[in-house]
Amino acid sequence: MPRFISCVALAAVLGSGTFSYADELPSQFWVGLSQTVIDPNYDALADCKRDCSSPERIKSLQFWNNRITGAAEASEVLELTEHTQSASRFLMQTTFGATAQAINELAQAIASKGETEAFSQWLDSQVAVPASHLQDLVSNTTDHLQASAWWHQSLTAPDQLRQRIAFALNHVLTISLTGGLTKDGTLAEYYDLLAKNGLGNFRTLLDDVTYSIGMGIYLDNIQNRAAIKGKHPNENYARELMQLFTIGTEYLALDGSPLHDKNGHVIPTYNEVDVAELAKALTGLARGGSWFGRLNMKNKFHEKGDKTLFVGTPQETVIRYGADTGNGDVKQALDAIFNHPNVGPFIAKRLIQHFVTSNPEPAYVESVARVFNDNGSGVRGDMKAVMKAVLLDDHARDPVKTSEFGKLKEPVLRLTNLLRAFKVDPVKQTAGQLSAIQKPLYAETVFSFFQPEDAPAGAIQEQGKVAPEFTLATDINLAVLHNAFTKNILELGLTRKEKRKGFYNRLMLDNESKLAVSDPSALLDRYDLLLMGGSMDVAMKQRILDFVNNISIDDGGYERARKALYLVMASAQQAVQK
Amino acid sequence: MSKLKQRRKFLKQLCGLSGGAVLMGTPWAYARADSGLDTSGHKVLVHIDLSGGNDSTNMLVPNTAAAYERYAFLRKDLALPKDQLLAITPKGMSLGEYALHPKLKGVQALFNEGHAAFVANMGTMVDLNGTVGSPPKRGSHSNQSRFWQGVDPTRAAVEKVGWVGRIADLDSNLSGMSTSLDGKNIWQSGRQSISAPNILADSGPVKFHDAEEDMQHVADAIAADALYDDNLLVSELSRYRGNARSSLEALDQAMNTPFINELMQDLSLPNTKLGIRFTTILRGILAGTTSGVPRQTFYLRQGGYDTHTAQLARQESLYEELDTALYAFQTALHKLGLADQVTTFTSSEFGRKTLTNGTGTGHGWGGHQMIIGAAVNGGQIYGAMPDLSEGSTDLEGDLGVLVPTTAVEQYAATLAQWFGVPEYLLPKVLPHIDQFSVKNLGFMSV
Repeated sequence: MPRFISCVALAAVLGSGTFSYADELPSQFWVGLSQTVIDPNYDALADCKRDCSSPERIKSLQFWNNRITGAAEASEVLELTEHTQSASRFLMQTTFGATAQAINELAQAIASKGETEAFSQWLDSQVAVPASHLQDLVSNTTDHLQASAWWHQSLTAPDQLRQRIAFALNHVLTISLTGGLTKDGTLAEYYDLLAKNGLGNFRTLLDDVTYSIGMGIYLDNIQNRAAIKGKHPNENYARELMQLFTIGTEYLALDGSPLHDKNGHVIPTYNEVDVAELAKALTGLARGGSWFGRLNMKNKFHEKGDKTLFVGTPQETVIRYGADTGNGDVKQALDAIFNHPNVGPFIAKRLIQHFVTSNPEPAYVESVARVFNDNGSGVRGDMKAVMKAVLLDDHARDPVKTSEFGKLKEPVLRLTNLLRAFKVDPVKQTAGQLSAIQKPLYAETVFSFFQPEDAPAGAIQEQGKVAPEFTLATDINLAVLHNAFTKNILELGLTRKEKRKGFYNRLMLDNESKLAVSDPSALLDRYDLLLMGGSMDVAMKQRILDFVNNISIDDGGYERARKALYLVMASAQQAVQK
Repeated sequence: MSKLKQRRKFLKQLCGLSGGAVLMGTPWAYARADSGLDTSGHKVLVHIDLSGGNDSTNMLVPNTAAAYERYAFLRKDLALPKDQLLAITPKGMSLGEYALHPKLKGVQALFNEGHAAFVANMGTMVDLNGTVGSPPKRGSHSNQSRFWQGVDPTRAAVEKVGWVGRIADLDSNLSGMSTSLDGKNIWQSGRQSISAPNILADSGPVKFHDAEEDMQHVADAIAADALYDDNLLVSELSRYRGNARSSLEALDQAMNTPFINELMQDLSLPNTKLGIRFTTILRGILAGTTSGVPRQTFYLRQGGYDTHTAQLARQESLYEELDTALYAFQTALHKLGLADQVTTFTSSEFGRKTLTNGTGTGHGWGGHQMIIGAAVNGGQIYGAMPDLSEGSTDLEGDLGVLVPTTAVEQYAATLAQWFGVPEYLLPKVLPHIDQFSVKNLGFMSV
């Protein structure tokens, strides 16, 4: 403690040799509490106060006691080169947050191979990393661990790209624990199949989703049975499979823009009869008492006879009821949907919006959709090729920076940026503060947290642009998110419970504090690269520097490091990925 | 104004909150303007969105022997037992001709007191040409919800505005009149961003925690830079945040005065999600009356009505929460002497199919809605209840989709006229109202 003058002073005031959080802790004394207040070697298991013999409880405690998110990765010294900014921006788009080590490695690769080759190889290497499985982290008997497990995996998994894709795809082919699905493990299994197929093939993805128990429960398809005695098939999954997961409600050009008929109206892709017909083709899938694995076709519950999809359109398809009965119908139906010309532009645009920019130029959508339609080897729906197209296209790497380029980071991603950058442990509390705004895996409906065409009132809407993530930027949500940053970075307003050792998570700013003393400008560069993809402008940097330079370094630089970090994270500039 | 001047003004405003209007104007502080709207007195619309598609065929049930028998035949396992239904005798009908879902006891009492009414078989009836017909994208939650709230399918793709937003656009006195308990919504969004609703948490406003003063100055300066950032998303986010900060501060002050706190002590609302939100709405209404605001709207959503499965149990618990909260809210309004000024109404993006899939129902089209308040000409069903008999033109397709006979436009027009929109201004608020000769369904007293 001797390093921290203000702490010493405070300890004297409190008349205690060992400092601890006091409820009446005056806010001006937060400075320099970093190393002493919360025991870095805290052992949750040793401190276990209740249910300590329950295997589930022990698993949960061990899970949270698995300390320090990416400690080594985050604490590395950033080597500033001409390629650092480019590496940082790429990692901002492709991971849950850049770390110093990842930036250094990628920048070195760029230096030796050039950007295109380095990025392409990085993507290949991510595909080669074995998949992390949410299911491994999840207890099947309790619900509370689910969101926590998501945070843990998303922050620490080495297959960052795959996990980002799963997160994006769960905004499109959404399932959620809000609703009929209550089994953690079942949802985890579904999330894992999004991750797997996100770098696999879209047709397989459709098959896995349709046969998954999680989706079967969430959109009721396990209760979709052949008509009998005045009861009719359940249309829930059939409808959303078309509207939200694959083709959308209106015909699209390859570049993602809507096609129009001779009266200037958009052209519907399907009607209510098509929904009923598709529902019939998807009848008979049953879970047979299991919470895991694939649904089974029960032919006695499957609707007999031919079904016709997309009547009166160029995609009209008759599903022949034949030898393979139920499963044959499902296969034919999914083939018809998968081969619909809308899928390429529909999925291309959604992925671009999730990874790169809310308002992609039509040419960008078109070039990705072309890859979806044919990866160059005649394969349709090759998601690895599609993701490469999304991330390596000139529109992503070297875009014309129009005023609307980029996207607002959703609250969850702003937080993962921060947590991955500064070896945080545990994340439980911070994540909890966001749960009223955006709780991963708990979207309110199948429409997820925002929709691709959402546009906030004001200049964005007036200019005919969209900004889906702004749907989460309501007055109240902006306040809650802002307050979460105030609390976690400045360590203000902590409750009694949060002050208990080991419970409250904190950002480990040891390296940053050293920089704050020796080279404040380099500190700002570090924050810029870890949190803003290198987009901080000179004016912003200078404003923060001017302020930080006037702060005493008697505490070893912690106050400087924290306040500078707060000013970065509280800014609108940091919230937008450009 | 030059950028520099604007910026100086912005900084001044940020630094001295008490300096009055901050960016969007302190909510509920008005100047007069001549819009043609009648903004005399104080009137409030509370909109409950029964989100997911309410199966209103089980909300308002035919109760004569023959009609019930047909209902039960169509609904199979979903038919509510006749002896559990709550009979009502709407004006102009025979004794107990219709009945309510067993959980709607409070609504039944309000209906009998003349403070609740229904509009029967209503839906989106404007097609892509702007004429009466079948709307586009039927059965799509998001699109039908947009058409219910925005009442303009012809421009829904390019314009995200709703009929209350359009009212706010007409009169600068009304900017800031709208408050949402459920985030952004089309209904309250106008062309002008100042018409956008204030958005609250269930229990009310949450204030921004400021940093220490010297650091807050730096944060404010960075926010001011952001307002003029080259990137549209950065500048708009900064503008939104500035607005949020000032409006939440102002709302917090207006809604938590000692006077309001004292009034609220005597009221009792259920401790449910809806009950808590109605409590916040009451505070908002009281803040409106004490600040002399002419008009207010509140939007809240009760989700869970997409009952493809387990409909009986799910609807029962939804209605129980809804009924209890509605009745307590109405009781509180009477106690406060505000019942004449506040009208509560429901919407739902579509009704559900009459025929069942076993335990639930698919997406339909027409459905019934309810209106509650002392200004309602209650005890009556407006519009035409659907004929469920075989071969009826009210039923479409194999699964008995209700074909609506009253349009959303007519429902909205009736509410809008009570709210102060004269008939000649209705087309500005409801672009396709002229497709319908009846522009007032008569369920609101003049």
